Amino acid sequence: MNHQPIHRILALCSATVTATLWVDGAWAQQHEEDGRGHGLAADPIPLQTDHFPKRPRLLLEIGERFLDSGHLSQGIRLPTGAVWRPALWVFGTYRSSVQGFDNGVTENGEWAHRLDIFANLRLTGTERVLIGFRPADEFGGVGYNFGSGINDGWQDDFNGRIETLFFEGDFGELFPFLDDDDSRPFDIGFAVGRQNLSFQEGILINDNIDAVGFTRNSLRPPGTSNLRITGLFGWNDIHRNNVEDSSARLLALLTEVDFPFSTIAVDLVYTIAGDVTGDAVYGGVGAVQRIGRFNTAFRVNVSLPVSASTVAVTRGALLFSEISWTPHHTENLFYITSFWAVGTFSPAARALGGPLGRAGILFESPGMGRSGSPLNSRAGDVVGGAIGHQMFFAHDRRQLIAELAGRKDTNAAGEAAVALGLRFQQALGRRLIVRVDGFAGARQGLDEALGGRIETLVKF
Amino acid sequence: MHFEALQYPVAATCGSCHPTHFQQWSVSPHAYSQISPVFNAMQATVTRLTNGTNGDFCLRCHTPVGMALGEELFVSNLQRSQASREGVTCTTCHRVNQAYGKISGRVSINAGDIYQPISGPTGSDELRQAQGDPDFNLATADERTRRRAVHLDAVRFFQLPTSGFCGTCHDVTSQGGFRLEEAFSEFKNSPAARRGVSCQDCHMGVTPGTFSGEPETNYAFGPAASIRGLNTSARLLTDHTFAGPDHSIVHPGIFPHNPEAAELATLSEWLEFDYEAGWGPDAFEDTIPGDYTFPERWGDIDDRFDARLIIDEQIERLDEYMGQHTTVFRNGYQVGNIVTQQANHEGIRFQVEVRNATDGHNVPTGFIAERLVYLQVTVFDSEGDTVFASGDLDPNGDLRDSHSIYVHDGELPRDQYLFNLQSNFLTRNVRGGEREQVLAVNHSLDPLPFARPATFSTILTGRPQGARIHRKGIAPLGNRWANYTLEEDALTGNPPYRAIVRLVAGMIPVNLVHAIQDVGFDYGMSAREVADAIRSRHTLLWEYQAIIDPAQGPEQVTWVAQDVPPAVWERSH
Repeated sequence: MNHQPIHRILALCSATVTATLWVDGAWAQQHEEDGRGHGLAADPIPLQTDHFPKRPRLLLEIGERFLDSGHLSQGIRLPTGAVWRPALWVFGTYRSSVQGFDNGVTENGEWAHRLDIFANLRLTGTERVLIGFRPADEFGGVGYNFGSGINDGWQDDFNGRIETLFFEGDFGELFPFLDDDDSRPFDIGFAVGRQNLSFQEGILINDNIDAVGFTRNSLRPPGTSNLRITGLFGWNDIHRNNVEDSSARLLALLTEVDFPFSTIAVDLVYTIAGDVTGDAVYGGVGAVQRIGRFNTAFRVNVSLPVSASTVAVTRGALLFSEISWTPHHTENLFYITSFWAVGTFSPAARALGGPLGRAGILFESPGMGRSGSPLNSRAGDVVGGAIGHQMFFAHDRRQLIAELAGRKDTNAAGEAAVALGLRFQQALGRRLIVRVDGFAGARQGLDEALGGRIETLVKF
Repeated sequence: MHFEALQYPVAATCGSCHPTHFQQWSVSPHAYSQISPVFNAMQATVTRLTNGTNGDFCLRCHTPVGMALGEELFVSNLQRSQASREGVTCTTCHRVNQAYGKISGRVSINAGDIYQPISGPTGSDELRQAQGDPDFNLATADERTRRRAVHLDAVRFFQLPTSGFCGTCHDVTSQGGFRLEEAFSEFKNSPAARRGVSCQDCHMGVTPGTFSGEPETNYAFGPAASIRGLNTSARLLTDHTFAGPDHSIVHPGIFPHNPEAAELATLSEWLEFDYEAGWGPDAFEDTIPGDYTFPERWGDIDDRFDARLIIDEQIERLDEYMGQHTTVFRNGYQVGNIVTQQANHEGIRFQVEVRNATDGHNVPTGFIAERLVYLQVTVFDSEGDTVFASGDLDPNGDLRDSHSIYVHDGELPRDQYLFNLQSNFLTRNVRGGEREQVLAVNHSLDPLPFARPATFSTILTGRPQGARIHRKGIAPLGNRWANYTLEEDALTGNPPYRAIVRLVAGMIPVNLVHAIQDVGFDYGMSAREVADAIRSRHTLLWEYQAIIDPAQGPEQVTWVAQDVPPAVWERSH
């Protein structure tokens, strides 16, 4: 196969890393005095006020500025007793990437863009309305495709779709007159509208859906330090196996408990749907803790169709683990992930990709354009995992991740794959990140795979 | 004085009529909130790590007046206005007249000179009486000149005596949904709330950390104001000391706030006064060598003598505060049963129960990720050699947990028996679960962390995706057991063994000092000085001892409570 476009992108990746290091080298020299020691300084260090960063402005701030000093207004007192002090803050990120991959079957090259923009109407410390758009990178995307021979050329699928629009608040804060002496636990949180939901690290639910949820937090059953319990009803825009299921309604009970030794999350979901897609029960249990010097997270997620498996839900269980540790004398991170899908686990709600994204950077799609993940992130009859090393440099503003990952089918489907990936990230100035990814891989029965991308991300 | 600063009267102004309140407040954690060099460095570090986006988030609670005045986010306190340095000063609560709810300190403080109305729990009856009494000679709305300048009105603010008012600062959630402090939320779901006890009942009464059950016995009784020897009518008085886990580590010339000290010297001059060398008293002055040199400001022996008197008074007040600090801790934490399960030649096992004696909130509460409350357990053989230790400190002054630099670097073993109620900041790794961090700024996911509003409902999830706190405190009236095992091979030396169990509280861990030292500490303090001042004031709350003879079995082991004196501030000097 002709890898010419990919080779060019990889060459560009190398050049970008070199240029970025050079630019940041100059920046780092300016801040050399910030260097950390490993002990406690015996001599006074003068207050480092000279290069202290100023607050970066948001794209738009109407009313009280975001986390800025100055006199605060009195606000408006509602008949309920609540005092609202509205402020509108517009912020977001813009990403632009030249990326290409050859997965052994097809070859893709593109210049992709993604703009995420949010307007946050702050009303109080607990109440707000958030509206979010992704005008680029929806449907066909916005950018330029090349290399594949299919849909090559300019793409301009700008859109005005509302990705996020919800109100969240706290009953006790909305209606303080109901509890003047604060003796009743009316601090029931809620959110209603289109919102991103992610539970069990996105394995169980990872979708933007229309939903209403209610939460009690700061509960303490015996032996615990905290319990959060959330009830949720989702009624629209629910994606099952990456396809919107207009017939689906989602009921969920989502909990998280802090024990002294561990944080346990237990989540249950019941989806009511039409005959074609079918009702289903989903469950997830996660335990996150430190064992000695090892950070560990273990999760079990299951999907059970009430009747037969359908295009929307299949029977399966996904066992998932993450382990990491920080080597002596560094802040770096070694990590090992592993998974075992028994049957085919299907998430309760997920619009894109599969549930294995958390297994490694090689299972994760860049989230823009047509590029997918180097390794398949679906969880059907498969075992696999990743081992990686994240290294930090330049006061954590520069990092490099090296990862080796693979997956092997357990049903003799002949879909084994292995890949090696590198990710370089560098913060430049106060708003810009340059990220370079590259991978090479092999898949059973196919040519080798190769890919690379260079991304710039601007925060505002 | 700058015009804007006049819009927020300083505490000393209020103290001229309310001396009792001023004295209590002046040594309080509220008064110390901005003075703290640890806070100043910590907020600056977090803001720097978040590329400036954290803005005034921390400072809104710690120096609300400074932020209202638009002061810089990171400067020496020596350069801030007096009202700003005063942290949670009088106007922070008594110039607020709206119930802002859980707003993480972003309350609007009404600007205005001394004549503007203040908010109080009762209203203006007493003020009107005093204004009508010619002996007080107080300014009125009709006549200000030639009369004592006071607030012309006192407006009852219904929320001031309620827990909800405390919740405006003591429930801290970042704009990104990070629940940093939850004291008020914990209280809302506590037995204390259900039985109608408020934050003020326990923390503004005569005995800090407990409510007597009746307001008449819980609160002090006396005049709210005292003007030129004339007192207003007596009433129930709330105590404004607010003793808590924090304590001063700075030069006693600059804290507690003291108008006499301010009159004698500037803060910078006070920092030059070497009280630890003993300046001032005859015992020192009569013995100094002839070539001993003093800074120019302190060249006069009379000034040194005056300064010494003030320093001694300041230290006495700090000692009093530390006594209350001990009391509030002991009212919150208790050692329950100590059960010896095994004591023979195959080993020793015992359990220690730690109880939350309060019913108002978890312990620790508030800034739980940086509060140490730990058991220090030591077992000695008959020669006095240590055969077992847990809760001991590394050379820096840290517990031997994952944040100890010595443990992190593999130079000391992790304390596998450590019982510490400190919660942990956790940041989500790019992969590999979550790891504990001293500061909750996540670089693993993002080389350029930004503080921005969350893009999903963090009310439903209880936290943002990149960081959280693993809460480890004990629930109201709850308990937790610590287990200790000395295997046979640990029983070196000759029996009987003497075991000591101590419950100790620390303001913050030394590893926090290490994490924030790069931005510098105020007042010319070094990180080492800061750490030593903190470590030396870890507060012993309870101590139990037992003689354990493996030949006699566990039934013969009796744990005896030891007398524990209140902490004093001066111990490290």
